[in-house]
Order: sequence, then C-alpha cells, then structure tokens
Amino acid sequence: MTGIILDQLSIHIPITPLLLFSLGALLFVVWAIFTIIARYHWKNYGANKFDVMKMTFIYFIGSAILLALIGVFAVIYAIPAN
Amino acid sequence: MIEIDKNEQILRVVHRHWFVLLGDIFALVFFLALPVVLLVAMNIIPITKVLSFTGSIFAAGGFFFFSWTLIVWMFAWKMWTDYYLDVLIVTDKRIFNIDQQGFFHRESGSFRIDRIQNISVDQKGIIQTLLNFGTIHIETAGENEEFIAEYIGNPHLVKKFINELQDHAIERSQLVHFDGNEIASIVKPNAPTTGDIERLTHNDSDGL
Repeated sequence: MTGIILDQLSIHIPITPLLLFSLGALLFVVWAIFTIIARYHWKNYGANKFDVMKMTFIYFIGSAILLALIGVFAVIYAIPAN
Repeated sequence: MIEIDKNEQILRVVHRHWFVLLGDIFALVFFLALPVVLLVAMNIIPITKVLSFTGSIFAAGGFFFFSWTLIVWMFAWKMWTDYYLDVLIVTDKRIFNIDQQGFFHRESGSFRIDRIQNISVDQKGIIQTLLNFGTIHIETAGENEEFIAEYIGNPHLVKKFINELQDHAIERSQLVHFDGNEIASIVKPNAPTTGDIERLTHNDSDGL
C-alpha cells in the first residue's frame, strides 16, 4: 500500500557521495559554530578552571570520534564497490 | 563573567541536584534511539523507492547514524552547559545566584553575606526528601527581592554553611571598630576562625 503511494508520488532522491560530503561539511560548520559558543560560555562563566578543562577535553574527544566516523563512512560510500 | 573581586575568595560552588538532569537524559536517550525506530520503519515503508543509493547502503546508514549522533551530542552539551552554569557561588563576602537559561539568556544577582536576614529551606514531596534536595530562600536587608535557588542538593548543609559564614562576617565587621585589647575581651572562645572556614569549605566536597 505504502509502496504504491510512493510510486504514484514519484519522488526520487539520489544519495550521491557529493550529497553526503555536502551534508558532512554543513554539519561540521554547525558543530564549529556551536563549539565557539559553548567554549565562550565555559571559559567566561565557568567557576572552576579544572572542571572547564575536563569538559573541554571530553567534548573534543567525543566530537573528534564522531566527526571521524562520519568522514570514514562518507569515504566508504564514495568508494565504488567492484 | 562572574564579577568577583581579586581579594574575594570562592568558598563554594553549589550546583543544582542531578535529579533535574533526569528529564534531559530521558529526552537524549529517546533521540538517540530514534534512528533504530526509523530503521524498523524502513522495513515497513519501502524507502528504496524514494532514495537511490549509488554506494553501500550500510555506509550511508553509518553516515546518517553518526551525523544524527553528533547532533544529539551537541544537544547534550547544551543541556549540560545549562546545568553547569546554573549555580550559587558562595564567596567569603557575597553570594552570587546565577540562572542560565540556554546560551543567550543569563540572569545573575549577588548580595553581601552580612546583609542576609533569613535563610529558609523548602523540601517538598517524597523525591526531594529521599534524594535530599530542595529550594533555598534567602532574604536580605533592604528592598532587594528574595533570592531563590531551586533544586539544591543538601540544602540544610548549604544553609548551615551560609549561616556560619554570616556569623563570621558579622563578627569580623564588628571587630574592625575595636582595638586589639578590646577584641581579645570580646571574641568568644568558640567563635569561628579562618581555619574553621577553610575546614568547612573542604569537608563536604561531594555533597554540594
């Protein structure tokens, strides 16, 4: 039933490697802006420098892992399967 | 920026109780589980009729899953920042009440410890009683409004700490009007000393 409706709508979105890289780049820009705002708050309003250092460390480690995974999967997708 | 003088010492930073984070944690778990729900939905809805993949579907799935996780990760840090920056800072002279609501809304107020007239603690319900958190109301002299700090862990301990600081501050302010001999005759043998204050500030580090 749902398949028939989707056939009739004839919506077709090709997921190209370029689309994935564009989405990844957009996400990276959003992350960078968020990071600047969050870091500004921690640095200026945080009452304990050691806590801020720990938060910054955890935040950047986690973000780096996620960004790396996003990049790896985008690259794997772009490699043509033979 | 917290407007603390150079010669002012932070004695205690009081955060809200972790219980207030529970709602946020549940929301995060829900958002994190959303791709799994979507994956189940994909079995019902033939998504391949709408999307055409030029590469591995597994890789595309991984890409979208970790992109979503990064968004949830940022959302989590926004929640944590709200929680972390919402504090009651007790210095040796003043108390700062900072209310952080999102990144772009911050309210802060401060008052001198020797201006405090009354401190009361309000614990409502079984959860607040069992988990030992509640609301602290601080009334100050003058026309200032009442300061309210909600969801504070160990509120009675915080109240005791502020009361002792207040006693010490009042005694110190009275002593500046006397010379050394008069001070010796006035000071009570069990009056809190600077050492007592330091001991108080380091005693219950995990409780507040």
